[in-house]
Amino acid sequence: MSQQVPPPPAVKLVTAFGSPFAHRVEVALTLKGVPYELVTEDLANKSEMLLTHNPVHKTVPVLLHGDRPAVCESLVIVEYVDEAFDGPRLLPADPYGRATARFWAHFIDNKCLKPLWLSMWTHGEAQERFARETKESLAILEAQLEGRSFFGGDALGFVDVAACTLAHWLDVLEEVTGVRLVTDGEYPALRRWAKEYTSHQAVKRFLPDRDQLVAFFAAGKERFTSMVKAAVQQ
Amino acid sequence: MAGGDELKLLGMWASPFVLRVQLALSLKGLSYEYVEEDLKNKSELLLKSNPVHNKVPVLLHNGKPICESSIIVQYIDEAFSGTGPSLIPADPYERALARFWAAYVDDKMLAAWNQSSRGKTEEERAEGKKQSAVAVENLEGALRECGKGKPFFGGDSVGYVDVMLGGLLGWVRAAEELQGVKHFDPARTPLLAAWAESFGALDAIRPVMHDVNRLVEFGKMLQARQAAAAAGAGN
Repeated sequence: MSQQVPPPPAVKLVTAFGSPFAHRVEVALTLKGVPYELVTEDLANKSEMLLTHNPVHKTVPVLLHGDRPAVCESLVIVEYVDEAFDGPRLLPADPYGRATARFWAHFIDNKCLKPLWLSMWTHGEAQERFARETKESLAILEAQLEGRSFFGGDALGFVDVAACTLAHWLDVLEEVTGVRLVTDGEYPALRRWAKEYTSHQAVKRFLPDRDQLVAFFAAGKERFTSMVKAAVQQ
Repeated sequence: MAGGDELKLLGMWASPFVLRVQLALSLKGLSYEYVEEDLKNKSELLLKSNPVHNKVPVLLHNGKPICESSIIVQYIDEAFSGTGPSLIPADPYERALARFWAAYVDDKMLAAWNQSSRGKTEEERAEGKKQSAVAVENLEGALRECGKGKPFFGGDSVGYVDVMLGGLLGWVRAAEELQGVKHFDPARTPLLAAWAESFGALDAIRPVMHDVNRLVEFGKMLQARQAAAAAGAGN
């Protein structure tokens, strides 16, 4: 947690324990050198403040910057942070590089993280389908790394931040649910990337404690299972 | 347009996602070659240009492919920033707001519309209808917030969100006949209903938009095909 002594930071980040999406924003703010105040929500008991600032999605992260209205949705916030503040670029300057970065972040969210989450909390045929889809996406990401340290190249960037779930949350989920998506020897480039990512000085302070994360997901098993069941009726 | 810029769009005539790109190109006054893809027999070029999704639209700019309609529209605005009007605002907060609502159109509203018409059970479709109503209401609020009394999400002139939503308008109209549903009902969402009229009437937009009758015919064919498949599968 980053705190600055007066003047109080102009930026407030509303977060919740264990959220990889809020983590994305913390890393982005840190990479840009932006001081911020952290406000932690209990998503099982949402505050008036959260519901007022994010009436559409009612979730974290939410960024409050000065007296501007809230910015919501993690990747929208990360691009906002990139554009509103000076500091090293999170997305490349050139339009083609930016389109490429957005493509991969989008791919990670829609084709990797969605089925990954669903594969953890479903069973039988549905679970197999989601697991297969996730693994296909992991293979694509593996190829995309092409032996580089980061998706962005030499430096950590937009796509790496988008992929954070794979670096720290994936094996926690595997442990809690018993669903193994990554077997021994698979995706060596991704595993190397995960080590690079989690040991990066702008990242490691913001990784939730692993034991606490395990406890968090274990405690939420029933809740996540029923949420997913409702969502998957398609 | 800068000398030596070659633009090629791989598309399919009925796709609202492809249409978004055509709307953006038209608004910016950019000329391009259009290639109609047979999605049952995709070209080498399409498969090579979009190996991850194999989908249209794909925009090729001097041979380099850009995929995903939202990403292509942003790319067009950024790569041709000196040409034609700006689709995305300059201010970081306004940009964030535009990106938020553009994502909402696809992730929430379109997803709900799809569920309401293609959900496998009566229960799923009913849930889809419920979510559609919420989504459209939220979008009405967004138009009020972003437009600030002006006709478009972009204010006086068309912007990114207008293009993202505008690509769907042909199908919105077709849905009235195909599903008996009026997504932008003037009684419930007056701003969106008015927006649909204003958007569709623009000079850069009108000639590019979908032929609704053609979409209805196409939609009926798809419905028949779906019904036949369901019957054949013994459901």
